[in-house]
Amino acid sequence: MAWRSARSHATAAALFTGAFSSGLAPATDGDLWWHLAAGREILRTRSLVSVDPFSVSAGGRPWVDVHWLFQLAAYAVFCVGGLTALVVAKCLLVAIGALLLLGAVNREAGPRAAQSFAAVFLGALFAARSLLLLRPVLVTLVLLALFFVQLERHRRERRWSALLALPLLQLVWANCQGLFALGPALVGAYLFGSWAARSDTPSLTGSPNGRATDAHSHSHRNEGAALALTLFLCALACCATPYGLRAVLLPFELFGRLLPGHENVYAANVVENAPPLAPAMAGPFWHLKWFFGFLIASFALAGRRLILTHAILVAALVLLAILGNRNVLLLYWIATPIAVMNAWRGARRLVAPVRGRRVTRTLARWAPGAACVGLLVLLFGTAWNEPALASPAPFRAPSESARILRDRPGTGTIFAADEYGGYLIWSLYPRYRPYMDTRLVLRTAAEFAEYLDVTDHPDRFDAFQKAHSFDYVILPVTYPDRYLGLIAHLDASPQWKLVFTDGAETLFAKRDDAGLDRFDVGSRADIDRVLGALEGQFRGSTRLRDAARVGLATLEITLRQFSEAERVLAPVSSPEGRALRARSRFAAGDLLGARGLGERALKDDPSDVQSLNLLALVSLRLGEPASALTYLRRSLAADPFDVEAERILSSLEEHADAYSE
Amino acid sequence: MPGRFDLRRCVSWGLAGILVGLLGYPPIEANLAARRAAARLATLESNPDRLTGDGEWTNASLSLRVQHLGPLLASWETIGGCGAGGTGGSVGVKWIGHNTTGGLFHSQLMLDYLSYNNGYNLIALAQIDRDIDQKQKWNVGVVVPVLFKYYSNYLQLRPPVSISNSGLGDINAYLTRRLGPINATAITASVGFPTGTHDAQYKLEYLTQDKQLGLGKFTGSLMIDHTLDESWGLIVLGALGAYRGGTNELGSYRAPTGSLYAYAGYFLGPFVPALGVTATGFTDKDQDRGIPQDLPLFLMAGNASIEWSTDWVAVLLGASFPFSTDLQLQPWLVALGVSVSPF
Repeated sequence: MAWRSARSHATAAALFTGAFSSGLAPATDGDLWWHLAAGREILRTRSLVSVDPFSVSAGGRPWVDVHWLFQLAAYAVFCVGGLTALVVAKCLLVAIGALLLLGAVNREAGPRAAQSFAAVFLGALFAARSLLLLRPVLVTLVLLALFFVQLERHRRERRWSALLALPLLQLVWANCQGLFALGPALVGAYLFGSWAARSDTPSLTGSPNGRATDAHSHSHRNEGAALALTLFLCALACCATPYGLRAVLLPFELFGRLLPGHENVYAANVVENAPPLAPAMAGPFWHLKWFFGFLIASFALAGRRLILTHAILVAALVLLAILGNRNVLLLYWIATPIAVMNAWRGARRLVAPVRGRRVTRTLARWAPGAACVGLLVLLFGTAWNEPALASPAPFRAPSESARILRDRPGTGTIFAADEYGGYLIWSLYPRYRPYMDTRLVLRTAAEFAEYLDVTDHPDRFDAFQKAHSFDYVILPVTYPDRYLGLIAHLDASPQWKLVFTDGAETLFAKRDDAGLDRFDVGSRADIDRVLGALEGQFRGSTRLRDAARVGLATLEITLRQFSEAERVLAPVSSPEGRALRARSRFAAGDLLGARGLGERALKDDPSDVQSLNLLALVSLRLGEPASALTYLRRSLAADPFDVEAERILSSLEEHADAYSE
Repeated sequence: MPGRFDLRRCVSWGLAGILVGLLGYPPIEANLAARRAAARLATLESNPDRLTGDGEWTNASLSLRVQHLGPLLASWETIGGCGAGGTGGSVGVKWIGHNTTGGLFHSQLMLDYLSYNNGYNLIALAQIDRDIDQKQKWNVGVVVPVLFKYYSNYLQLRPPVSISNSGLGDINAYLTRRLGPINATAITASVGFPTGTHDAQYKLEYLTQDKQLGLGKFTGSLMIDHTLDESWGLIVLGALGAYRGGTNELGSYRAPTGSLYAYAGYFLGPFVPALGVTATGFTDKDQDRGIPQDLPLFLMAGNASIEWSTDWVAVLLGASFPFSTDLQLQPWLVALGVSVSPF
């Protein structure tokens, strides 16, 4: 007994520690900053924000800020301990949610199933840790876990009291995040499951006498009534926000933005809305296929022991996950305990013939524990290698550009990448306001499409500038690299000058702004100054230092400073550095140099698509079409969806067609 | 005996099957994309002289994105976060909308819930078809129905008895010929094979004809559809004649029917809401082992549906409410359909 108790405690401790460490990473997401700014604004004005005060493009528009409670809490935590406190709070929420789910599995399937759950859940959290962002979704995770635990308790024990807290929790949820609609959906799923279970009586399934007992029907009726009442109260709680019905409609509006399709500008352009099964997402979401495999096995094992509510929940979460990758976390969060419960029910039957054997006993006792230990080591190792928690993740926030503007007098407007908008609001409001930020719910699809159009077609920026008279432009170089064309356009423009870069962010000011000196990307002295700062900033991490140099070299190549790019890349020995150096040579016209580097890269990795594409283009430029087609064939065989290879192939086809005509 | 239906097992295996489909989709898609690319390259290789020159003509530029997205990324290397980054039977709901086209084949799953006063039918219709010529003039397909029929208080026995009958219904195969320059008119001939049981019993008594899964006879139908494609939406007009099997060995009879229908759908971005009306007449009353059944000979149904579609998947939610001539609501139906044109 003591051994069992110790094992249960060890499982709980391992899960708590692992779940906690899965979130130990600096803030990467741009949303956090406008959440903090909103919290600060609410406290400053002693009133909720009902119109957007922060941005140029949505300034003065009604803002259904259902996150206000989260924003106040996040700002309070930030005031106490800065970003580190926020990250620690995030880790605590994830760990508490994980423990709640562990309890549900333990009650339903026993301590051994709980041990298996801990191992699988830690694996799922490790795989999806990039989705554990400092956002209101953390509140959703905990509340989802609480709803799941209470609804499971009610399903098992048929006690009304288990449901009493849910409407109150729903009230909190509705004032923290747009995903609050998951609360009523969860209750609805249990209500539907209860109804289906009532219909799925022995009579329906063809029992000999075709009768259901009165007690059974009565119990189901009570269960249904309790759930129906809870659903009603939760729905009512959804309306209890300062924004009334407009807040109720928000989840549906957000869901509409997830629906995949080229005509849906949000689904096609916001990375977190991309379907995880899309070819471009295969790398970051490598784990989804394994999780699906696990779900398949669990359903196959469950068979007729399946609980219909669980099936409904998993089906709905799978649908949400395949619509947008951001929902993969929700799928892992709730489907993992369900799948473990399913698998455990079926597995007991499956292993019954060999249950007594020593090998089976040893495996059952030690395998989940060993998996937990392995995953803990992996999670600790990953967390250990993360940069400091007290600052935003490297390359993700325009902190230096914001500092430069903060130190200057005056006010103005900024055209910036949408993911920079939040940080600029946090750092510079009310003196400076960005044109765009990631609160896309404040913008129409046409406005967002216009912003993207300007980004993707830099020649249209001048007309856009005439209409809006921006004072500054702040753009990222590589995270993401969508703005490189606009950076090149601005650098060549007679109206703008680059005044700051560190290879990750670029700050442009008007040429006639005498207070800021031009940064000369072709000047060895300027670049050496940047390199010196980067060396100091990333001392101790070769990976970060190399990434910083790759970013700076990318900017140099974009601005056609090839020799400086080569110099910046000289100490970088990573495959990325080598690939960029080869591309720099190609862009500079040194075709044989590019070929040499490309062929050397192919020796290390014969299916390196980027090198194959480069060599195909080099061959074309050297007038060797047969060789180009051979490289292209290899490239498309390795990755038939590679955008660059497809572009080269289309270009060849167009040329061939033109030649025929 | 009525067929034994295990809802939980069906749901378990159904979900597992859907997940297997999701799991299998990316590698199959990649394989087909690789084949398509290989075919395009082969075409170019067959005429290498068309690619002469120094390659300066190529407008393909090299991207400067050299980072690889893999499984073990640090937080700052990951993508994600907000921001713009790089990258039919006689009663039923007719699919009105964009639907999906262009794949290797077209598959559709329609789940119907048909409500009766004393029970309900759940009908899953799995349909797979494909065009057999490049101009999409000819199309062949097959529809596999799986039915679950549930009736409470069967035969008013004391104590009350509920029965269910479930299993495979009559499988249909069909051939469609499309006419006109834009294939606006379609004629579809279909044959139903007697794969559904027609002689299920409860306590050695045959279930009534409407509770069986089939009639045990071949059936056939001919349908003509015409679509008017407008800038704001579409209008579909059509007629259907069906031979529903006649009389079987038990003396049960299903009368031939004829239907006329009209639908109008409105394009609203990816959504197509549609309204329609169907008039159906029966040549005679259906019979259960020689006894005419109390069913109306003429039905008028109002139908409403909404479709949401992308290039490769479409979802339709619809309902049909039929009325007899004395304005009595007949068994009504709601349907959820998913259509996919993969590869």
